[in-house]
Amino acid sequence: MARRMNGILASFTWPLVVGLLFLGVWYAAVTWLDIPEYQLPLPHRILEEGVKEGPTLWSGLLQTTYACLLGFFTSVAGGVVLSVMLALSDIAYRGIYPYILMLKMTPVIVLAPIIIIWFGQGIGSITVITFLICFFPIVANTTMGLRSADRGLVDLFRVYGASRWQAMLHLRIPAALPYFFTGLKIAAALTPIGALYGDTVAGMGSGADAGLGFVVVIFSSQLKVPALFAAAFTACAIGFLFVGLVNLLSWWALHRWHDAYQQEGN
Amino acid sequence: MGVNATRAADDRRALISLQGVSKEFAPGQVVLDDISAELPRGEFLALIGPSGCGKSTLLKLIAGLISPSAGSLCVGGGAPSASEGKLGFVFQDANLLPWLDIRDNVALPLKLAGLPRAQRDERAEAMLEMVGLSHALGRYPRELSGGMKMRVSIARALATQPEILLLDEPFGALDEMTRDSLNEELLRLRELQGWTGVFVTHSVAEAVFLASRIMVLSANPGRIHALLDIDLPYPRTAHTRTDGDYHAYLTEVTRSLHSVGGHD
Ligand SMILES: Nc1ncnc2c1ncn2[C@@H]1O[C@H](COP(=O)(O)OP(=O)(O)O)[C@@H](O)[C@H]1O
Ligand SMILES: [Mg+2]
Repeated sequence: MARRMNGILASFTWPLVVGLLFLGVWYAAVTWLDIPEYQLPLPHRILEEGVKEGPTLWSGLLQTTYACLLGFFTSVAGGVVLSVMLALSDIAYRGIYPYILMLKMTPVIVLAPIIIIWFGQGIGSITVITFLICFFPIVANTTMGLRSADRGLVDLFRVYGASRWQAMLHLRIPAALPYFFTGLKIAAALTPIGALYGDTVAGMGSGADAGLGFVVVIFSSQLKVPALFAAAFTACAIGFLFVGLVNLLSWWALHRWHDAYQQEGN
Repeated sequence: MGVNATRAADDRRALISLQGVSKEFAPGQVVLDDISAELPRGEFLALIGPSGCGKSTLLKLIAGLISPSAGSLCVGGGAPSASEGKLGFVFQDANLLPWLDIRDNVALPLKLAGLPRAQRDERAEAMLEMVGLSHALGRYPRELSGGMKMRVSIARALATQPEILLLDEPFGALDEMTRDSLNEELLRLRELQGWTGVFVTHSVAEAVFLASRIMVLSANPGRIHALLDIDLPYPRTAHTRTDGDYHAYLTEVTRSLHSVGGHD
């Protein structure tokens, strides 16, 4: 128990040391090199302005988190359903997968105006943009997982007369879980990027509707540089939230059996 | 009386019958050529031969996993593909599902057959007790040694109480001591359950110790080189390994294997 506590402390010690060093260098550089605030504000100024803009940042955070959740969950649901379909039918896989690749190859940036024409300014378009960014890593990884069940295990299921659905449910889906979570982790990291980008092109202007991306656009047009930095740190929190939750979920689903979570001396 | 008469006729008829079975995966590449054999109930047949001669292919044909290019097979009175439930298969390197604990692994064939949970668990636990793994029910495959995994695999194959057990180099990856004790255990299970078996092995000693008959195959194409009866009485135990007849059979099978170029 004591050793475990030590381990946790140790894992915080070094990031803390590096963080403090970094802050020191930051203060030193700004002071000695006489960097103006509109280029690099001092950390305590970022904190001050962040607190001052607190209500705006907070509602931006909520709005963007909401968009992230919508985009993330629709892409997970859509991605999983599509992957299962592609795994059940070889014809579907060969017929549809190239088009998914094509969609993937098309940068979302050029699709955004079309999406806005279809879904209008606001949360609808932002969700679709987030969806498009998260969708591919989920489909690519899950499909690969569903199609790569061990040959020996496939034979095992055939010997015992398993139906296609039984093989899907009891073999291919569990075998695909580690792949699925790999895709999910990539998607989780991309989610805020999608939502924030969506916000900058399709975000709506006022009050509680303004997502963090839109807030950033406003701050930058007003040259509120310390607040801009505060917004960046706030956005970072969303990324941590999503990646953290997915890591937790992955651990929960896999730690009993998957080698990635193998404990030594077990 | 009628039932007994039918049973007697059944016993005389082969449980597994191969008639001129050939298999080629690609045109002109004959893997197995004209294999014919009759296995009566209770037979324990060993397949031995050089690597790549088609031993696993022959097992898969019997299991109905692949179909022959020529000839015909009859398993338990029907086509191999319809033999599920009658047949258990012990795969090379255990082949357990890593995400299921030991009990659920053994219960898998029963689950696929649609048995309700309570019955599955009861049967799986009984099978695991039989192979001496009652203490490991809730453990996962990655936590087990190679020998324990193989015992789980055998318990799973026997869970459906099959008439026929097929084993593909079940103990090939194990050390000799583990292998010997698992061999004895397998014979004990056979005594208990009376299934008919076909197994592939690279070990002449294992073949002679376990089998009632040994099929020596030659390679390219795989043909029957010899079919040897092993007339050592069952039950065979550790003492059998010091028996003079046992060693005579070892010599005979080793010679036969040498002449097809299959010695290790
Ligand atoms: N599914 C397959 N497709 C093509 N060739 C195969 C397939 N399975 C086995 N073979 C070939 O058949 C031959 C016999 O294989 P196998 O039965 O596994 O041999 P053994 O078990 O005796 O070592 C090998 O040359 C192998 O490459
Ligand atoms: Mg083989």
